[in-house]
Amino acid sequence: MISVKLPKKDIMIYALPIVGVLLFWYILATIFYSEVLPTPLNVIRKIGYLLTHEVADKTLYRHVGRSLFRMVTGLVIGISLGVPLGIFMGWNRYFESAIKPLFETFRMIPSLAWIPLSVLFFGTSELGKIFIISIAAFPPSVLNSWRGVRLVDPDMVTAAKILGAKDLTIMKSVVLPAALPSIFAGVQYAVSISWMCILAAELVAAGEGLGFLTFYGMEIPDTSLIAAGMLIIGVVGFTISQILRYLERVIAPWK
Amino acid sequence: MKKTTLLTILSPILFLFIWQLLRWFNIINPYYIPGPSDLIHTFIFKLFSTKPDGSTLLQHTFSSLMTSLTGFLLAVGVGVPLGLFMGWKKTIDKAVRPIFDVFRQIPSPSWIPFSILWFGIGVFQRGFIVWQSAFVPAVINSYYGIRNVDEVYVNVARVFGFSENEIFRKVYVPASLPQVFTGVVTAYGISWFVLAAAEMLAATDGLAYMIWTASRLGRSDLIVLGMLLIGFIGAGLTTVIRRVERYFTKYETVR
Repeated sequence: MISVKLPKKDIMIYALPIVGVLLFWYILATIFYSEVLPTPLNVIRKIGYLLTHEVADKTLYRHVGRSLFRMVTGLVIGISLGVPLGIFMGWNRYFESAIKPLFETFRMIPSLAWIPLSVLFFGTSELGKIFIISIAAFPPSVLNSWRGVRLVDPDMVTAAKILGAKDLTIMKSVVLPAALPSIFAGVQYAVSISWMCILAAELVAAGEGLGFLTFYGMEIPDTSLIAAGMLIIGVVGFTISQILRYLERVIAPWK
Repeated sequence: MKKTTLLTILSPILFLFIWQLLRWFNIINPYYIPGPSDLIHTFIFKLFSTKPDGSTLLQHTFSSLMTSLTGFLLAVGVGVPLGLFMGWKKTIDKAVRPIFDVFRQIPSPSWIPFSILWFGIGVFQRGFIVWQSAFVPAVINSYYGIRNVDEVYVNVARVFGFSENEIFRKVYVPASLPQVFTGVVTAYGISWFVLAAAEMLAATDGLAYMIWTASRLGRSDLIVLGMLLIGFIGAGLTTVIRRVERYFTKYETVR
């Protein structure tokens, strides 16, 4: 998407439409009231304000930190439950056929539909959000590990067996490395889903976090706060996806 | 019968049976987790009763379905052609792509506050959210669908004297259809997911509204029933889209 070596002319062509949209936005914002649409300038000013002042009794860093903390904790739980289950489902045919119908039913339910139940279980505490993220991260981790292990070339496994490798050795040095790219793709998908999920969960029920920040902007109402929150959400999300791309190259370079 | 098939049939039955046993012996608290028998009872009751949230089950389902289908069809109707043209015409691509790269970094749930301020709470606002969340994947996948078309096909068509319009209609579009449909399925999944958030945050009917109200009233039976329904409907519609895809891409199976 964004390559490092962009010639000067290309940067111009790339920047032109964005400038056009900003202008269009500015004109629209001056026509409408600021209660409907803030001007781009106000939004930038708001971001500057957010960097130095507290909103809803918390600094911006705390809001970002909260969202990330919930996301990472939930992800770790969901992935560390999902990946082993998926690997085992790919490994053992009987286990697979027993778990498959239950998993497929579970997978159908969108993770956000778990919010009411999580509120019933945990109230609006931190655990509730972590629960939602774990549930959101679980299906993609299972699915990709399962498929990854299933699609390992059976000849390679047979070859290892003929050479006298034990099941555990085959798992460790044949199946896992072959399935790793697929597992990592699952993790990547889990991260992007859970990022969307934490924002939605914070919109519906939370007292801090980035999703709450935009919700708070709607309540006051302060449209420049909403827009600033959305921009920050975009930047954080973009950073996360870039980090993941880098990790992918480090973890599974043979992909 | 094969052992694996038997397991696939037996395991859900066993699961339901143990679940019901746990409920009978009051090992699980029905305030938090209802038993299967409670679900059946609530389902039949809710078909005719408007308690406790003002609409029967069918009315909620109808409301969610209408919002979701309208927004989704509008998004696909605009998004797929736009994506196809972006992939085909370099000038449109250059003008629209940068704006797109910025907008797609912002997850759909964070548009909810603005949608409420712009359209007020109602069908129109939820339709906008659904439209917005389905639009991005529809465009991106159609765009990459065209971009990934093998140049050889295009060159062959050119050699045989096809006009550029004919190449677009007879080469680009058919060859990109599988990826376009991948985008359409993703779009539906995401929009169904985001609709749940929108309905919980601000609505007066819809399945997610139903389970959100049930959560406030401590009606776990109604919550789980609603979750299952949301899951089944989403999966059912995905199957319908897959059927449509198979109808349009018959040639894919020949390969």
